[in-house]
Amino acid sequence: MAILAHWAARWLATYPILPRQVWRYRRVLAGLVTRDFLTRTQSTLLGVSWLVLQPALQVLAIWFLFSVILGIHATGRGRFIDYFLLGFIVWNMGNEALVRGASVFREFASLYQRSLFPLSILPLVPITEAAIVHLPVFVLTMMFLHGPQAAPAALAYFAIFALWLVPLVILVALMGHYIREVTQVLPFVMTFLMYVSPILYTPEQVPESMRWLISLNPLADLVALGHWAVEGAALGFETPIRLMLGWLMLMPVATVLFRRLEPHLREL
Amino acid sequence: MKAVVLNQVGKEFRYYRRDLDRLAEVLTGRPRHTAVTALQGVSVAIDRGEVVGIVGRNGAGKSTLLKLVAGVMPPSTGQVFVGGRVSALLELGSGFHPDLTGRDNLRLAAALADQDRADAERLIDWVRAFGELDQALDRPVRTYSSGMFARLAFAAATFQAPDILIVDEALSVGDGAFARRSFDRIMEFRRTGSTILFCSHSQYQVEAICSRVLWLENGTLQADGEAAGVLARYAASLQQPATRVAAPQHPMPASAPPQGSARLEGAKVWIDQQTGHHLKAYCGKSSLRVEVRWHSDPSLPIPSVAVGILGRDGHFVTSAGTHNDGIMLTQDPVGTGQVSIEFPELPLLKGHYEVAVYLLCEKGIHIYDQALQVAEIEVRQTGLEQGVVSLPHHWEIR
Repeated sequence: MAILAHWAARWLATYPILPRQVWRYRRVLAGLVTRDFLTRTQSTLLGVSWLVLQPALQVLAIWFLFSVILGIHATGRGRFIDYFLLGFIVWNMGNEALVRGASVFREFASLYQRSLFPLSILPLVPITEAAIVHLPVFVLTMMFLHGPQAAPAALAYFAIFALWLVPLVILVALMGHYIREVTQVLPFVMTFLMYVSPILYTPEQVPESMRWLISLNPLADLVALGHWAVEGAALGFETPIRLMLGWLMLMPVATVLFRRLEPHLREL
Repeated sequence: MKAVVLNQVGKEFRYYRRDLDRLAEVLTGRPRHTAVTALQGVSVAIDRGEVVGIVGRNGAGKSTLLKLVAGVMPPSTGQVFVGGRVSALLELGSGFHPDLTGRDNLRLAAALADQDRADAERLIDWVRAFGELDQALDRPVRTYSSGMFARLAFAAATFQAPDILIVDEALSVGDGAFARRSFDRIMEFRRTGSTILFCSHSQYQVEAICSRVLWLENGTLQADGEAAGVLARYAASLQQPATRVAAPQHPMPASAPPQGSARLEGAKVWIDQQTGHHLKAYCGKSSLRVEVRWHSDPSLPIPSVAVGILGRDGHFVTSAGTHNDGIMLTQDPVGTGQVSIEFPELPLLKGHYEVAVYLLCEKGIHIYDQALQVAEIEVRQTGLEQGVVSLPHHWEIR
């Protein structure tokens, strides 16, 4: 019993590590994100506006294709475009954070090797950047599709989605640093993940014999949570439980692995 | 009160065949590395305000020791205690992102030190002025020369007086004027009571700056004590002194010195009435004279000059300096000056010797310029005395 309590205490102690680091080095995080935004859009006429304009124009093009040209409406849950855009925007955000995250330690190696740079905030750079870029597009799109009352729910849901990404990006960043293939394979994996998640189709459209597979896919649960939060779609009690347990398991794994690999990262 | 305490500190570096092996080792717990010990059982206690030099051959563990004190890496064994704010100049370029401008890197450095925007701007202004990096501050640092990089790094690290300053060969880069300014800055910290850990291959600079020296050899502490004593033992252990390897022969072109610095304009060696690069002398009979000309920034205090006579293996046989001998030099209003030194009845025994000339700051510590192998002297003797020098002596028959 005492051993169990000891391990439980150690497990729980891992959760506050990252928030403490983020708060302490918030200015560094802000500086890195700001600098990256300015670098990516330097010498353009519209400057940083492009960061939000790009996903916004993408959403507009998708809306025009599916609603106006193809005229796809039927999903069994109302308009197809309403259903699709929620999943697509958050997938896009997650895709950007994870793909960039896979190379983040390599990208900033000169900052932390042989110096006192707080390594733990680096995986948060791609998440913060992706969140800043996609949040306004997501909230405005949800408001446009479901009315202004959808804004608070969209905001809260987006925050939960970004938080859920944190351990995943840490793990991908560590793997990407040591296994170069991760950066090559990840874009394909993310595209595949979109196709096997109920983003382009509803769970009801999946053959009943294969629906159990959806429950193994955390992205499917995250998308289902979004439809519940923003559109008021039905949501089984097992979905938030799976998501919460998954995050509670992943976060300490990511934290412990990071702490074990941190000296190696600095010495490489 | 101790500023730094190392208790049985050891550091082992692990080498892996592939990056993936590191990950596999952490995940499986099965060793996949080859270990190399960089430091072993080092115990040192440094008081606040002490200026400690660290010497040793390449690979002796000097930089590892400094990195452990700076907190850049944890020790493999033992404990490191550091009491106070540390500012470290470890490696050229470390801590700077090559794609960011100097200004952005400084903002990042300010954020890391938890300084607000106003502090960051003060830091930028200081670095611009001290490092003379006006336009360059807005260029990515990957476009910087090593000298500009050194100026940026040194100025950023010494913006505020740290409790503990760590300097690892940082003064070996950068131009003469900046080297002088950075040297003065270190001396300022020494006066105001900062603890300084100074690592350099220049034994002369270490002896000039430090009151205490740690000598590392193969990762272990070989000696720890008063600077002159430890350096003498260290120098004796060297087969090839670093000065010979590090410094090329000085071409001494006649040109204006850089602002804030000084340079040798010429050095000529005479043996009796002959001058040249290869000279012959007779023990106890010949007279050796060295003439030195320099050009200094007139706004600087008048420099001092030193002359060394070295054996073929690079060890100093003897040296003399104007600062040490209490000689005040003079120079004209544009900063040029000339001095000569004479060694009458040269007491060197048979062998080959070299003459080196150094131009130093007014305190005889910072080296502005040097000319090695100004002349090679072949000394002959009539008797059979052995050694390098014939000391004044007399016999008394009882």
